[in-house]
Amino acid sequence: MRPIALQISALSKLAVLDLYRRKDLAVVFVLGGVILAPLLFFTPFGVSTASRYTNELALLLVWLFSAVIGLGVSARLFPPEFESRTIYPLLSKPVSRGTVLAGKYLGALAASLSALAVFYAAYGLLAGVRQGVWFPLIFWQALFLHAAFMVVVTALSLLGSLTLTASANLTMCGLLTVGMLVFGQRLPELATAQPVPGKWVLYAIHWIAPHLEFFDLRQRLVHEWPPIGWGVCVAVWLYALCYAAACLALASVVLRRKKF
Amino acid sequence: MSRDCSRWMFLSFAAAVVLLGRAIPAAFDDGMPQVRGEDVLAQVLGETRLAVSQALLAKADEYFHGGVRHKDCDHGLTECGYDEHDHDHEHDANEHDAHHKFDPWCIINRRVHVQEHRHMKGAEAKELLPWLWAANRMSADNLQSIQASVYVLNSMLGNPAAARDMLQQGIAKNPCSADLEFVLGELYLRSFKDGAKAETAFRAALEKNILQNDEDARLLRLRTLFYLGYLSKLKGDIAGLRQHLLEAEELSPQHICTRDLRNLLQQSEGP
Amino acid sequence: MEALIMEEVVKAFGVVRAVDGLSLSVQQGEILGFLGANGAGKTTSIKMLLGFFRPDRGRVEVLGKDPCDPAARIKIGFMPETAYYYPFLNVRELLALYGGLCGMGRESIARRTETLIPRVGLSEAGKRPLRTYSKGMLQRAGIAQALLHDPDLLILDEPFTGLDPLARIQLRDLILDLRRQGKTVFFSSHELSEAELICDRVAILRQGRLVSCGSVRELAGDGGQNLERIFLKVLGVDAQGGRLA
Repeated sequence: MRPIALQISALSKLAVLDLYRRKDLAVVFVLGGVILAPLLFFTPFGVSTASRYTNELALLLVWLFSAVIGLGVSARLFPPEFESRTIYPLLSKPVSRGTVLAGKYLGALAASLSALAVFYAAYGLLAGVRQGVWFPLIFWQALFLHAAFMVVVTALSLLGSLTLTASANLTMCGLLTVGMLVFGQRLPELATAQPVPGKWVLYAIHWIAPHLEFFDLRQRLVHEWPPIGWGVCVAVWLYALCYAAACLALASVVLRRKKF
Repeated sequence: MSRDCSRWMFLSFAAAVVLLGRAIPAAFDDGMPQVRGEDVLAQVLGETRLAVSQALLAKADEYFHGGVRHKDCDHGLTECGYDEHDHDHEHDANEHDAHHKFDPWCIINRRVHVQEHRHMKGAEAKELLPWLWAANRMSADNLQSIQASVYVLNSMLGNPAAARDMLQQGIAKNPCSADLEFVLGELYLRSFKDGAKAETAFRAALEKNILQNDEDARLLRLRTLFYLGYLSKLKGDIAGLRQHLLEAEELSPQHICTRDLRNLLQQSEGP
Repeated sequence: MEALIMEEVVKAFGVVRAVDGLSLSVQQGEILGFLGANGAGKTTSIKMLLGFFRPDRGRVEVLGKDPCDPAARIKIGFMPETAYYYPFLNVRELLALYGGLCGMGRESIARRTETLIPRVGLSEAGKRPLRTYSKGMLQRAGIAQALLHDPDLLILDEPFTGLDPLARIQLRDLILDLRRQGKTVFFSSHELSEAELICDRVAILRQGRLVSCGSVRELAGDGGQNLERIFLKVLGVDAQGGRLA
């Protein structure tokens, strides 16, 4: 392996170990199980069992937990390095700051995506058992776009981790994520209804903030709507890559200028 | 030694908490701050229960439309009538998106998120039950959710027994509701073909309706009178039918229910 | 040949000049003690030597290269004053991480790890996570990571802090051993007795300026004073901390 690949691999491994040794994943799994298990045995009005609501709740938990893990892992990339001063031995090695950033980002992404894969596998099994439909095409599309979501939120949180504490970063990115998932689609509509200063603020948010609702195929997956076109999937992925690249470029500038 | 001691102390403390939890309500009975046996949801959520229940009903309505929230749809579960509706909707997001036709983000959103309008049909309606159950459980005062549940159980899933049980529970919790008695009457008449029980329910609806004096109550009274007239006709009680027609004419001589009653009377009296 | 050169280096943070016209050079194979009171500018100087930031004025060169170039740091080993290394790793994983950052292959990392862990006295704690380590043990782990890639220049920031007497002796022997191997050691310290025992030269810094530099014998002059006396004299304070007339 080339030295830069070794460097990136070493840094990435650190983020993955951080996630798994902190047992965050085990905690959210237990939590998810505790929330979902009673629902699996629930028969409302004593009539036949419904499955969509459990699927929807399971997917909601998948989104919630994956966002928490993605944002949390990225939010913890730099602040502990600054607080415990491990950034000094790190940067004293023959490694550029750009490589440090890339390694940390890829590590956070790998950790988040591995957690996402585990969540979706569990969801796929649950939905398969409940509905009798095993891993339909829309499932793979939902996973594919959810992975793009992780690409964006980890980059966003990484950018925040260079200037904010982990908790402040997690809170801000969490609010932005939830806000965009809930209101992202309706921003132009809301902007149109506002008087002038508010209107421009909302339009600015519409153009600048990450449209995380692009990656959300829960509605189609739960209610068995047909899959979206692959062209749309590719467009959404391109959007994610561009947004993440912009965040990383900005993070690179911040890291280069940062005095330790 | 100290660990054993801590363990015993913990167990003793837990036992004491359980005993006190049993003993105090038994000892003070009516003197407790909350009514004994009152629902924990009522204690925790108070008056917000109805709002939460409405939100859960809205969720059921969203499911009815395939997970899409149609705020401009006037025939969903929240506006649940008893007429089957089968129609093609072309009210896509085109209207409000006309301003943002060339906005790339809006274009992507329209492709990713469902824009079509569909209604749940047949056995698929079982998917609505958890939300309706939760809406009813959250607030017994949400008559709309009880009526929607009856509609789904009876008309969509073909389970009138479950609908009746649910409705009777709803009436027990809302003893003044004329609407629920009316729905029960319709259920007995249409699904169980039990005229006697239906008449009892309609008469109860009429009695409870006297207490109210708004437009909705007036319309419900007209509809109840129609059914009572219809049941009188089935029994061959022409005098009863005439009496119900007179009452209906007093309320609204031109209303469709009054006209139908008039027609029924004419049919009974012959040419 | 000089391993390290600082020429008329100035670094200011706002209105405070942390380093003010510092000129210093260290020969290859030399041990230089970089001494000064708290806030004298030692750590700022070290950070410039490691390329963490550039000086406002002057020139810094390490092993003939600009330290801001990552390639220049390939032969530098650095141990920070107190670093609380990743608590979820054990020392072997920590060394694997830093080895990877130095571009070392898996085999060479394993070989160096096997040599270094006993050398810094962490054989028995090799599999324990670092969160269970004492401050002194973390310091030893820090020394191991600094030596991992066999650097020619070792920069140590307060290396004796937190070490018990036995570990101090081991570290002292280690530094002397490195000099025997032709390595250059540049360390900052408050431990004057340790510096006196191992340094070829000491440089004393006050308010960002170099006020004295030479071997302990040269600085002592004919009076034959120990380094503590020399230090106090150079800084212009008496033994009670009061300023000398």
